[in-house]
Amino acid sequence: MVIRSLFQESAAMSLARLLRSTLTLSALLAALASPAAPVDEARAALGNGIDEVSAALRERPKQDDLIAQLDTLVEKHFAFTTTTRLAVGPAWRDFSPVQRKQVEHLFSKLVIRTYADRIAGDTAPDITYGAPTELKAGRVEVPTVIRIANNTYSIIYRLELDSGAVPPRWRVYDVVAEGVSLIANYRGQFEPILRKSGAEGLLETLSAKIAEPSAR
Amino acid sequence: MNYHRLLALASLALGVALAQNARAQIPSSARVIDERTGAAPDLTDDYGDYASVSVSDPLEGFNRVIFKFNDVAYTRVLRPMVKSYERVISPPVNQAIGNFYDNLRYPVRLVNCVLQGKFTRAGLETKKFAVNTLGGLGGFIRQSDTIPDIAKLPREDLGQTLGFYGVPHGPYLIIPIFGGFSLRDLGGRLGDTVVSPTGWEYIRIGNHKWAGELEWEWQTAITVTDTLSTMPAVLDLYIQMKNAAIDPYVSLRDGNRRYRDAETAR
Repeated sequence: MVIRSLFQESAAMSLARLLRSTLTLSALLAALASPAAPVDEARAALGNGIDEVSAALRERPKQDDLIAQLDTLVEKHFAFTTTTRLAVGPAWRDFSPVQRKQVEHLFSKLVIRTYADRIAGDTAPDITYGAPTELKAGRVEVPTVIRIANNTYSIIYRLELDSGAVPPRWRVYDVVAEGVSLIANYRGQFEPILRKSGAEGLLETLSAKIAEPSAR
Repeated sequence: MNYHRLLALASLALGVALAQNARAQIPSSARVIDERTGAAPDLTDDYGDYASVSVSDPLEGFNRVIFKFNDVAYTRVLRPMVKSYERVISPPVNQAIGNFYDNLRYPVRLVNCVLQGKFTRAGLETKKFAVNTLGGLGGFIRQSDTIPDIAKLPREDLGQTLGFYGVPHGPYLIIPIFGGFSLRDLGGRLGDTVVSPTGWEYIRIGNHKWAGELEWEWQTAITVTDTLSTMPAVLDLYIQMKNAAIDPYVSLRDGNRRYRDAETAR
C-alpha cells in the first residue's frame, strides 16, 4: 500500500514538474515574443529596488560606505523631484529654478532623516506583490502587503517612468501606506504655509524643521 | 490607536532606502524634469492627482490646545511608562497579550460585518476566532496567520459601519489622551464598547458575571494591560509622524482621515 501510494505520488509529482516546465517555457516564449508591459517593468523595478536596498543594509558596511552606497541607490530608485513637485502642488509653477532645487534638497533631507532611524532592521522584509495597475502613461502603482514583526501593512508604491535616463527606468515617487499618501500628507501641511508666506516661507519652515533635533 | 497601521509609512521603500543621515541630494532627474517643463507642453499638470482632503475642523484652535497637552502627556508621561513596561514585558509576551485582547474584540468585528451585510467576512471572522481561541491557547497565539483566507481580514468597527451607510464624519475632535477622531468615529468607538468584552461596563468573565459586579481591580487591570499592549507601537508611530511633519497637527489629522476612509472602503 505504502509503496503504491508513494509511486502514485511520485508519478503525480513528475507530471506536475512536466507541467511546470512547459508553463515556464511558454511564459519565456511569450516574454521573448512581446516586450514586457509597463506594469510588469515597473513591478520588476520596484522589486529590484527593494531587494538592492535591503541587501545593502543587511551587509552593514561602514557608515561612510553606506551613505555613499545609498546616495546612488536613492538616486537610482526614487524620483524625488516628482515627489517634491507634487507635494508642493500647483504653487510649484511660481517657484524659481533655484527655489525648486532648494525645496527638493530640504524636503528629501527631511524625509531621509525621518525614516533613517526606522530602517536598522536586520530581518529581510516579507513582501507580497499584488497586481500592478497603470495610472496613466508612464505611471504605475504596485500594491504590496508587507509583514513586519507579526503585523501586516498594505503599502502601495507609485512609480514613474524616467524616459530621460538611458536606459529608461522606473522610479518610486510616492508611497501610500494604509491609505495615506506621503505626497498628499505633505501637500496638506505645505498648503497653509504657501498660502500665507509663499515659496520663501516654505523654505524657511523646512530649514527650521531640519535644524530642530528629532525626538526619540 | 487609529494610527497603528500607519506605522508602515515607507519603512520599507522610502524608509529602507533612505539611510542614516544620508546626505540629501538632488537626483539628476531634476534636470530631466526641468528640461521637460521648460520645453514640452506642461506634462507636469498632474496636481489634481492629489486633491487635498478636506477635514471639517471648526474647533481647530481648541483642538490644537488639547493636541499640545496630549503631546506632553505622550512624550513625558506615557512614553516613560511604556519604556518601563517594555523592560518588564518582553516584545513576544506583549505581542501575545495584544493578540489576546484583539481576539476578544471579535464580537465588535462580527457585529459590524453583519451590520454592513458582509456575511462572508462575518463567517471568516468567526472562523478566525475559533482558530485562535481553540488552536492558539485562548487567543494568545495568532494561529490564523498561517491560514491564507483569514490571515489578514480588514478590521471592522462601528465608525466604519456608519460610514458605510453614508453618515458624514462631522467635525474633528481631539480628546485628551485618546487623540483625534471625527465625531462619527468617536460615536462609533463608544458604541463598540457595548459589544466589546474589554469594554468597561459590559465585561463578562466566567460565571455570567457582568462588569457591574466585577471588582474594579479587575476592570482596571484589563483596561490597563489592553491599552499598554498596544501603546509601544502607537507611541512609536506618533513620534515618527511628529518627527516627519512640518505641522504635526495637520499631518495627523489628514492622515487619520485618509486612513479611516481607506479602511471604510475595504
